[in-house]
Amino acid sequence: MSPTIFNGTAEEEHQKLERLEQEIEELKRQTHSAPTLPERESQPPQQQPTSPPQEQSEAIADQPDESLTEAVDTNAEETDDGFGEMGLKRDPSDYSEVIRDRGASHNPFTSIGILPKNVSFADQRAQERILMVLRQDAIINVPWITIAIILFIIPFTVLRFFPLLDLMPGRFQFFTMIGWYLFTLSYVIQNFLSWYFNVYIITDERIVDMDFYSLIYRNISSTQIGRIEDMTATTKGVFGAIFDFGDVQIQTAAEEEQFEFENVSQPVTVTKFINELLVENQRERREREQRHV
Amino acid sequence: MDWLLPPGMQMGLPGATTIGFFALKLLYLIAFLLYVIFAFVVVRQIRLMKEGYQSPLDPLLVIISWAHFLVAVGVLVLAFLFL
Repeated sequence: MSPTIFNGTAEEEHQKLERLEQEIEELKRQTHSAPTLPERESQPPQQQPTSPPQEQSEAIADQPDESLTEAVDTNAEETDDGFGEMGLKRDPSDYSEVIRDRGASHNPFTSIGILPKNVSFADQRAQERILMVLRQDAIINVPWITIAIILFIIPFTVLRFFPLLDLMPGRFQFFTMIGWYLFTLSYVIQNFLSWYFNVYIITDERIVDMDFYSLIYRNISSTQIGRIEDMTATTKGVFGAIFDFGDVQIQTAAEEEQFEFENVSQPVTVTKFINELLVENQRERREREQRHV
Repeated sequence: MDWLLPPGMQMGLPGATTIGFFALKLLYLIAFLLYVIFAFVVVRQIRLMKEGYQSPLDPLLVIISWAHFLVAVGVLVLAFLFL
């Protein structure tokens, strides 16, 4: 059932009109190539602010359909993805309960970053907005951090009882200690970079999986939101149940293509959010089809 | 090893311990050189990772990677001079 836009008191209608105008202004800013709205711009300025709300609603009610149709048509040839590129996008907080409940994240080390700031990725489109950045849960780092701490304190504990370095001259002992801590540092660096840059990015158009298997091997894969067919959230083991982390498997329409978010925090929340994106995608598809008709 | 030779033929040849420490120094230098190469790979890899995913921590990571590389080079130079 298509939503009725203008239904309610004059004050509610006025608020809805203001919201529509804000959305149109935002669309203008987002796409420079978007066609102008000649009907709205050709109107003399004094008509718009002074007319009463009912007349404004009647005047504007006929316009957004054509302008949005124009904008959609302009970009329909450019992409045929499962998500409308412009004209139909809403603010994520309007359709996502997850974003409304959690709000934007400001911690760059978080394992679930919602609406992160100053974050982008290669191949990101101009109109594409990053909604969520996922990493493996921080608890996954505990093993290598523990090993790093042990490596750090070994010279102060083991060598005190087993002075193996006393066989060498002093300068060799010194550089042996230096080499030991450089080795420990390399271990920490490798593990930290592997955790920090292995991210799963969810935008309003697609899902991107960035894997850095080592310092020299990288794999980046992505899929459109509209091509997601099935999702599974799995919480594994005792630690997974206690700390609420697990895997999210995403099956797409492509043959044998499956995305797997490993050891992410709150996998149920992640699947809930992707479901919200799917619903929003379907809503945008319907609206686009209705306007084309 | 001079004690193995007759006194007239002892010419100040390097002892076994000296050769041993020289070999040990060579091993240390090779190890630190490999670490310098690793530090350089870290610098390059952070740059590649940054191209794939940009985040607010990127400037700090670049600084840390270069500082790490310079420390590795410094250790190599000190090992060459003092070992």
